[in-house]
Amino acid sequence: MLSIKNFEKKYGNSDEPVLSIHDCNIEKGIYWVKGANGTGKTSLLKSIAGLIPFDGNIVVDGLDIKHNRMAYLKQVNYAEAEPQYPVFLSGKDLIDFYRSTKKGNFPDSLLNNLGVEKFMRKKTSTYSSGMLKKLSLVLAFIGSPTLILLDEPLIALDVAAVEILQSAIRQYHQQGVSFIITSHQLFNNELVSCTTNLLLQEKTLQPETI
Amino acid sequence: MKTIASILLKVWVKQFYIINAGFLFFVFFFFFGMVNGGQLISYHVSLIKAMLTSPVFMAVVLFAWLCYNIKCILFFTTAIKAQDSSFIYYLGTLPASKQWKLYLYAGALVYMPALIYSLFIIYLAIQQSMFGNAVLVAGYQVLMIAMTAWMLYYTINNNTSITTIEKITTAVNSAFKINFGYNGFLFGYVLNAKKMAFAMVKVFSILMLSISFVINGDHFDEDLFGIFYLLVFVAHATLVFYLVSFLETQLQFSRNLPVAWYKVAVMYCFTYSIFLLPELAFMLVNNHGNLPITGIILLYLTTVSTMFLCTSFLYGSGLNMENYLFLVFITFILIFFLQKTQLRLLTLTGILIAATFVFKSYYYSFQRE
Repeated sequence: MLSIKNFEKKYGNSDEPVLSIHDCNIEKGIYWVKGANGTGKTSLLKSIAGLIPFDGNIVVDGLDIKHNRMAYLKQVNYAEAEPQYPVFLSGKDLIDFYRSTKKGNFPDSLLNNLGVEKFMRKKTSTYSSGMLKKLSLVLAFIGSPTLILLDEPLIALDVAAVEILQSAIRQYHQQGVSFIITSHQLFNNELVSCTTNLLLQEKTLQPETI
Repeated sequence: MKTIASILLKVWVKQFYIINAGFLFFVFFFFFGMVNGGQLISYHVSLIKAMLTSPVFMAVVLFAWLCYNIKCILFFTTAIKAQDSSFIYYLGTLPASKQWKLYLYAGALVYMPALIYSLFIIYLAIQQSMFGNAVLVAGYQVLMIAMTAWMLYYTINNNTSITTIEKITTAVNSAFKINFGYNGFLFGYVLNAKKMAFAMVKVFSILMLSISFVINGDHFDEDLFGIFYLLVFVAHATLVFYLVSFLETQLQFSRNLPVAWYKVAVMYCFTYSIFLLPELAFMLVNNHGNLPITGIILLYLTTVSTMFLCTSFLYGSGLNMENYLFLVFITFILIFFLQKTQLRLLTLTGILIAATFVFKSYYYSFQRE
């Protein structure tokens, strides 16, 4: 499902990469990337999502980000840890924008269950951090992705929303969607039972050994 | 009372004009900037006379003033409900007569542009012995200010969670809400966050063009105009910096969307072409045969392309301000000499090709320094 080869991520003029993954292949599933603060979890997710440049290559379901970028980005969705949106746009503006580019399906039930429909017509400047988080999660499920990257998805969510999100992850997983999630907060047992742990340490990604 | 009035001046009136500087500048430019200086008074006299003699024209003007007043009311409603303005509710403890005086004062000040113009209308109406029209305009303007003052009084003295006025203003707001598509995001940003910068660039631009086309219109000097026009371009280079910074910070998430580089390039060029329309209109209206029309259009397109080249430089330099200013300076020198060659079409094509090449090369590998 995901193949990372000769991957290196550097910032600024530094010769020292913050992340270096020689060869990593991941099959379909739900993955929980663990690692201490500053180990590069967000950099890894942003690289896979196409938000930041890197050396090497990343392939999702046979689509190479460097050579089939548009098709690749239709397969890979991403939700930031602390989403920020332009204050003059409404949630609906953003949803429409995502729908027009990602095409495919729309997560109506997630939109309703998280209560985003109630506030999506207001400008994002009026949203609390929890509302912004809920909006970003709805956006991450738009289209027909095969891989969804969720960076700290449980931050700022209330208890009910956490349950709704975990249920959505399980449901989408059953439909063949894979997830790579970073989280310092624990998931419920039902989700943990179908999750594979990955460890990000010493600047590389490896299966967690107990 | 004086102290309160000066506070209201700062928190309402000053803020209103800062927030709406771009809009007011546009309206001012539309009515006064596009007409040759020598014909400005006669143009407005004929406009006012047409208004006084045609009931339909008069109705259109009254409706426009109503729309402007609604805009003022929407501003006040938002300002009162803002979290950092809760102290405004202390006004409700003042006697009603004092409150009304303060609200009439604030309402009249934000409505001032319409009031000043209507004074000229009343003066001309009296001069033409059209006393009925003079009374109608004066009465209407008093009604507009009273409407704002009443709304302020009502909102401040009925501090419920949602007032009737808010319901009305929300409905009006939704009716006039601009639906921002991807191509409108950059406009939305400028209209919301960079109004003052935009207005200043436009004032500077029109001033530069006025020197060549209006003040020196009878002795038009193409070389001098070339230098002034390059200064117009440099002023616009600051807007380019703001736009790229916005797209790569607040809209960075859009890199996860399947939007190809050329669509982003088209969005930038489209935005610049709209931004430069006032300059194009000003040159076309005030040209009077000094420059060929095709020359003006080529100049406009070259400026759009050069702004796109600046955009590409920002992607190439990782949004580094120092490198960017250096590249803008080099572009300034280069275009200054290219202007002398009179190879306008070739210059336009060359800039467009270079800009597209640099943009394509750096867009996907861009990372802010």
